[in-house]
Amino acid sequence: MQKHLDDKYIIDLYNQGGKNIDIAFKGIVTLYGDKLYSQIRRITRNHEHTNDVLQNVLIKIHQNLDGFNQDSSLYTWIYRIARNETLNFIDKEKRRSGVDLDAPMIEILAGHDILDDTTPEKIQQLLQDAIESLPEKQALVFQLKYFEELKYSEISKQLATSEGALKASFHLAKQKIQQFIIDRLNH
Amino acid sequence: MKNEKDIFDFIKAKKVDVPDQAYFAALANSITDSKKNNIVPIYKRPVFWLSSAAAAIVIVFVALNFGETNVMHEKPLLAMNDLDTEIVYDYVNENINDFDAEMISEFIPTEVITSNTTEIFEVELEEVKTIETEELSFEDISTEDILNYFESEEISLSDFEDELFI
Repeated sequence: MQKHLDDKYIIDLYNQGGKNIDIAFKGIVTLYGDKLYSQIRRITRNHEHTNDVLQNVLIKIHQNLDGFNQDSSLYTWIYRIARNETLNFIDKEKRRSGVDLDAPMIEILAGHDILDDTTPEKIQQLLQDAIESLPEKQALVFQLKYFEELKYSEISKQLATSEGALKASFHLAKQKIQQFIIDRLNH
Repeated sequence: MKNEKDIFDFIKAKKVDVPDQAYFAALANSITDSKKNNIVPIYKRPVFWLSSAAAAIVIVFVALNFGETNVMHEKPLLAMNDLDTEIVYDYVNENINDFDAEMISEFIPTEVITSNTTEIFEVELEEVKTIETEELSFEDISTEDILNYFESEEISLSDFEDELFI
């Protein structure tokens, strides 16, 4: 099954109904589970929280898969659910404190005078805020290219978008994020 | 000039430690299993059928009672309209003791009841006024009566030394 696992196969399985619904769902988890985990954990910065959010995301996917209208790729649709669920979780968690967070998931290299004066913690938060401010598709392309280090050809398949459009989208996302971070650090 | 450098050349993202596929498989299984255990179509739930049966019984019971109540009210009224007034008066006069006050008041027009009540109250008010206008005087009470009253109430005159200048 895993050999031919892709969006089309999953949707066809789901449409057959019955036991195939669960098989299709498990196919989604196999295909996109690790990316979802990575995407969520970069924001929640804690395995337990990631686990909770991921579980909620998967439940929503299972419940709402019949509402997926194939206007976008399956992963774009899943990414939207994960992004909303994670941001809702973070909003609730902001009121709490004392949670053990992972060490920053970025490293700052010496040589940029603005970045030299700040901490990885601060930059990670700014980077996250900047990604949240992007349009959904741009944020998704940035995540897949920058953090997951996927090739444009792979992203193109997953998002059903041309490589040229992806390159333009990634370039634009980088510019916006850079401007966002510099503006915040200069204030 | 340093600010024009691309900050992404100086920010290096670390890889997230992603759990192995067993973790994701277990997560997916837990969701599909919980769905199987928890989600039963509503029409397959015993509670649904029990509630429906109970609701049907209540509706039938209420509908039957409501129908009967209406019939009971309508039948006598229709019969009364068919009777001659004199026959009704004769019947009432002969059987006046069989009617209770509540039943009679139900058929007496409200205006009649209101006007009668007002008259009764007016009479009572006049009587009260008469009593109020009668003035009482200590001169009409004998000293002996007053002393007897004090004695019955166990009031000592010495308690009023200051007031009475005794």
